[in-house]
Amino acid sequence: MQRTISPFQLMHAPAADSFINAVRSRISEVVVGQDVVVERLLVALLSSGHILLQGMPGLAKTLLVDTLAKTIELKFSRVQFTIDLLPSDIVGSEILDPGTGEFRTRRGPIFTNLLLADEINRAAPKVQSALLEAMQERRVTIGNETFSLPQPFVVIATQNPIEQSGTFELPEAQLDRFMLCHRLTYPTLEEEQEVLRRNLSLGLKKDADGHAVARTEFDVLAHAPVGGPADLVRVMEKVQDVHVSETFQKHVLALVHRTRHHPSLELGCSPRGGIALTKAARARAFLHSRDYAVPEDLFALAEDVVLHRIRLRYEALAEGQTGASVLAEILGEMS
Amino acid sequence: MKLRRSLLTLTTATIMAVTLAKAAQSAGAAEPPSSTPGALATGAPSSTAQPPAGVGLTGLIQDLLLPGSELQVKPDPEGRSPVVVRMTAVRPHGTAGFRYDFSWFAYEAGPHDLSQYLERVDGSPLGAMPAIGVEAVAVLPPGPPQTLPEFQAPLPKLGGYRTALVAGGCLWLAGWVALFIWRRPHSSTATAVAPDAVRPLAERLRFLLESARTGSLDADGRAQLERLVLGFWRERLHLTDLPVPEAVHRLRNHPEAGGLLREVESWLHSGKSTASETHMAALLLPYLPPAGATAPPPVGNPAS
Repeated sequence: MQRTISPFQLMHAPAADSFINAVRSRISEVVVGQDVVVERLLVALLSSGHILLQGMPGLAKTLLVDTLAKTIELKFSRVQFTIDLLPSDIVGSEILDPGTGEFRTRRGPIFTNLLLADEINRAAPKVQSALLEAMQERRVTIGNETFSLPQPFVVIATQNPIEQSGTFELPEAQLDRFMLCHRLTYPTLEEEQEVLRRNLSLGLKKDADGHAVARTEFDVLAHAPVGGPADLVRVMEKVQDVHVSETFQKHVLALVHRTRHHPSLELGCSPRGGIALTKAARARAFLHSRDYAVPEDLFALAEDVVLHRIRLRYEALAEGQTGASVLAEILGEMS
Repeated sequence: MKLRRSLLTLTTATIMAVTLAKAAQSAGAAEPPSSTPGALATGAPSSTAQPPAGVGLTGLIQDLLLPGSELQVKPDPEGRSPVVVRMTAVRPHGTAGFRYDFSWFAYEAGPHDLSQYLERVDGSPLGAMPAIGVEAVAVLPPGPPQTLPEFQAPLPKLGGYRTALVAGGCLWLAGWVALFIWRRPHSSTATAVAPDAVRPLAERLRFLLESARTGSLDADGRAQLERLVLGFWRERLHLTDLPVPEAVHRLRNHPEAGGLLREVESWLHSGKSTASETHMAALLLPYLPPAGATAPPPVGNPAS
């Protein structure tokens, strides 16, 4: 189904910080459109939160995260979650060194800055649990030794729609660990045509032996970063200076409170959700060149922060309601 | 036909009986009644006497040799005989007579002579027929029972299949009505979250702005005021059908509402604004319709 993107989604004002503008510009050279996703990724990165991307395959999720990592010169790992994946495949394990006869620690792919957990709902619950524990504590234990994860550490997980077969739905407690859950939509017709145009002009990639293979989008990623982790830390410090007024906090509390007392909702937003909404709004305000958060930040982020934290009652499901419709009703009551 | 002739009559009773050999009544009787095969009925008491049989319960006499031509049970069309006799088998016994198997049961307690209920098949007289004595003994005392068992009246019949269908339909409808009534308080809790929702938006906004003008607005009041301002402008610019995030974004960029909303935001959220509540109230109040007006004011700066 083709969706049209609203002017609201297309809008992104240039940020006050040149580093952020450079990151956005570099990403737009590789990934067409997806401005809202890029903004959400930056919000998560600047707030040290984790993000869950939900949508169909083929929407350039991996390319986007890979581009972001290379743009900021962050370490990037990608783990394809499957049913037979083990916790040690992510965290790492102790292996016996035949030469010395001693156990040696082999660190897993989780020791990175940006971890793309692809199709996280295809792994068994114990693997999901191992990853989500690391997300929360930002450290892992291998054998008897505890290791801190690199800073920054952001997990960008993707999952297919729940109704697809062969998936394990993430429980509410684990979903709550994700600061944002963004639902990807298909690009507009114009954006998709631009994707086709760029893809047709990629050409061939030849090696020294004269062999050739068709180039992909990953081959055009520039390896010259626009900044490094130090720039990121500097911007993160600026985000901390964004003012969150008491009135804004009242708005957040009103939203959270309404989700807990809505008759159609069995499970409302957790306190962690309120914290996530406040932090994300602060980062979004910075990205929109403001030094204070306003209700627009709250309303814009509400779906990504709140929707995966609420659960409908059976009666509401039977009446054909959805989480999005209930949230829209709550937001409508608030404004 | 034989069966019809064997069944004599029926009455009701619930008692026990004992079958006893009875003394022979005629001198020509050769053997007492017995169940022993080959014995000849004489009417005299026998050591092989039948065990007691109850009134209303069946007693058996097997292989009883009776002299003379073949016998059969007399018919009792009126059914008044105190004993019912059935001849279950007849076997010839040379020239001495026939051997018979009888089953019987009595409706009355006391001694009975089964030979009185027999006749010759060929119609000849019985002659010197030995008595076939049996006795039925009652367990209950004679006479009618003094106390009758209590009679439990059956449940009244409520009707047939159609009545049951109608009753079931009524119960089904009643269930839905009960469910509807039960859900009404739940839906009312939704409005309990925002009790002010029953008041018109402009009126609530006016109340908060008046509070702001007097400087008595707390943080909750300010937050509510800001949300009402957004709601007021959503209604005024007919943006209520849009998703709230998009509507708020459009409001902030609207030529008329945008500047006003950004000023409110700066006042409430920047932490640097020096504008007073009185100033903000004076800024916002002119946009509200007069108290008691039903229609919103037209779009446009009321000051211009």
